Amino acid sequence: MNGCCDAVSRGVAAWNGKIFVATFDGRLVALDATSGKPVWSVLTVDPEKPYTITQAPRVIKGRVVIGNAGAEYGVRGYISAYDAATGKFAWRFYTVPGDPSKPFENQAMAMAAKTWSGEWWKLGGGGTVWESLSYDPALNLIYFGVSNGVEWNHTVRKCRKG
Amino acid sequence: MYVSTAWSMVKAYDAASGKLLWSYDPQVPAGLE
Repeated sequence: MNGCCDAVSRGVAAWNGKIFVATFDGRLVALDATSGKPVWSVLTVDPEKPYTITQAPRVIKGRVVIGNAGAEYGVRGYISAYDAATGKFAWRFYTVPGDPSKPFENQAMAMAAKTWSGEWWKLGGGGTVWESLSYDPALNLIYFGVSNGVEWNHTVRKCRKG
Repeated sequence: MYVSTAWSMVKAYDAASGKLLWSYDPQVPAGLE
């Protein structure tokens, strides 16, 4: 498969009798902690694009949150949440704006798009969340870092306006 | 004890003895393009 930066895994999550692992080809799998048998599996990325996952999932309030990688090869970064019991999709948050000819997912993306120039969305824009994220239960906040933008060269993605 | 390895495999060990309890291989296609 087409993936950047080696097929490592940065760990698993354990919650309520299940072990959660994200696979290099973009699946999120729940295993029975006792038997190791899969309970559910969901594909969290577009398999036609060079997404990978090396991140350890996190379980937050009954949902598994997972990001991905691949900005080196041209993808759009995001994190997604799935119901830990069933694998049902709950929500997704993109880190960079998409194609401005389509509706933005939220106000943050509309604001962010004003800071980009050129046709960044054709290469995805990058900003992948590849390192495992953190959660503060007292503030109920998720913290994560993002990767480089794409095109790598900011004079291209910002039309020398950056 | 639960650990993940390269190619997204998972292994469960008895933490007292080190005995392998189960292992899971998600069969990630390994061929590089």
